[in-house]
Amino acid sequence: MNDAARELAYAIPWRTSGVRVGAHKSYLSGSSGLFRDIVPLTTFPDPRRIAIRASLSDPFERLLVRRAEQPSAIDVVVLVDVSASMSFEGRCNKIKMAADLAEGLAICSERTGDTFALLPFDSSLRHDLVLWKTLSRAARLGAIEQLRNARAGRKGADGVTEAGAAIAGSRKLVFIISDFLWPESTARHAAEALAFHDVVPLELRDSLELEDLPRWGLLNLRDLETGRHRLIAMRPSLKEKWVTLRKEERAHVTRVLDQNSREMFAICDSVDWMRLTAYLLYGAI
Amino acid sequence: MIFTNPLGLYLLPLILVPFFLGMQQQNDYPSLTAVPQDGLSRAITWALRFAGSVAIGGLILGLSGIALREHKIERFGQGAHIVLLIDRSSSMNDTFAGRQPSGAEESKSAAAKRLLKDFVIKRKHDRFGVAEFSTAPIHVVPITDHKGIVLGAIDAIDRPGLAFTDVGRGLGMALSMIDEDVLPGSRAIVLVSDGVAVVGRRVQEALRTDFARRPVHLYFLYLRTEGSNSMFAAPPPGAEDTPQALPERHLNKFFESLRIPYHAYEVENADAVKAAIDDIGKLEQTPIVYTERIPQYDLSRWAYGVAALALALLLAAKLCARRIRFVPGGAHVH
Repeated sequence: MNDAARELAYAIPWRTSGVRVGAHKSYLSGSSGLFRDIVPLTTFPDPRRIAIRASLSDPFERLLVRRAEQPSAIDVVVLVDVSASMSFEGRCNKIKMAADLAEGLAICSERTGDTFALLPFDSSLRHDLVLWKTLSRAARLGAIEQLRNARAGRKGADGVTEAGAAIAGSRKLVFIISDFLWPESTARHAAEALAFHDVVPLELRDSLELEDLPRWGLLNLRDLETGRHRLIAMRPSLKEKWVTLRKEERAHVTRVLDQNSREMFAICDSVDWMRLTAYLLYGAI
Repeated sequence: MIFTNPLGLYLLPLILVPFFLGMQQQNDYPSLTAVPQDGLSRAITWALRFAGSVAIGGLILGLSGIALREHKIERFGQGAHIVLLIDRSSSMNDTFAGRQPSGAEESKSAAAKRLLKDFVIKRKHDRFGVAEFSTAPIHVVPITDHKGIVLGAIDAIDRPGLAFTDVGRGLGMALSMIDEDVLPGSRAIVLVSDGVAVVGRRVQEALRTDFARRPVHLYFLYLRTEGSNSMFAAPPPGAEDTPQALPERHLNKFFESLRIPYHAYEVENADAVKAAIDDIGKLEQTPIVYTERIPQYDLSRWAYGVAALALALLLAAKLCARRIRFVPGGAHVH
């Protein structure tokens, strides 16, 4: 956990309907802060904020008051894929990296007063690792530590729909941390289950997975999800084909997710926290 | 196919192991769904499994001592079944000059032995039997294709000889040996003698019926001692022409009267013996069926060889194998 991770920040491009005071734009109005509009005193009975000039020039001679924005807190949910494929260890440890990301988000949410929930899933929701919506700092760190030491073993990522059902309700900021080596159907179910939320997919990749594979030689690979073996005679033409196929597969998943979520943010080997912050705040990379 | 150590065959199910267990070091990989279907990879996979199976199988068969069973093959060749009927009378130990052999001189039996052995060795497809006769006939070797025994029997003919010469009963024994031989083929009797006694009339009649019963070629190799009677020469007028006086001449006449293929050779030295034997060899060229014994053949060296080849293939694959591995602080191994 480096210092850059503590600087992580996020923003939402929508107004929350949350009523708890926080740091994000909401439909609530307040007495101080950013000016919002002028309304009659009867609508917003706060005589401390009477707008004298506006009241004098009002043709209906009403008494008007200034109204300000009232930022609210939101609910942050982090869905972490802990299926078997996440246990691939090349240049990075994906589970540990996911825990780092979750910790960064937990610190950030604590700073802004948002609630935080951590929902690891594989083929179902991992109830032994779940942290339900909380404001407790200790509970967050405990859950993240548990996640960091978790063993990814079971296959499948269908638990994402269960997680989606568990966080149904008001609009939340939902991060999905996964390698997104999903079948298209899982991606579609995830998109449907999370359609109401602001979904931020964070893809974890390892350059040893594909780009840095040897160009020549025999590779005996064991699928972490299914346990099947394949012997592959690597050669440049095959690698090229492989890269193309992988790109196509990824394109299928992202096309489905893009309909209901923000653009997928790919993290390769290590987290560039500045870039991630820029992406979360401005939607740009 | 036999196994000298068949207990090893209990291990044979191990050849299935390569089809169920991976042989290469495995690399964990997140998902193989994006890996393109590749014919070459699949071919190599199966080739390596097969090679593993062959390597294990070869080693097990080698350990079990796989071998081909000894067997016999019937073959067609040219030759005959020949009974060598050899005179063992004491006069055979003399030289062609009728003296005891001394120094460089060779006795008749030694010459016959040397030349007959050559003959036996040269005639690959013939079967030989050996019978000897002196006062009584001696059954030595029945008709057989074991050349070693035949050569051993011929080796023994220059042992000091016995007393007299009873060619009639000798011929009877040779004929009975031919009767015992059941394999098809042309038969011949080679009678080697240096002088004969009278064949009695009764024996003559018996021989005549015996010879008439079966087709036998008869070769009479008369090792004539210097000064003794010729087999072909008619006696000078006035001389006695009776079997008692000229037994060889009358034996020859008797053989000629048998109406069988008959050749007589009167030889007076070793070279003439050789010429006569060569002549017999040329004459006995009828097609015969003979069986060839193929000895047990050890196949385990081939099994080990095949296993070694398969292991070499596996080793090559091992050397080509790559790992997905991150070496901290350096580029990973390609």
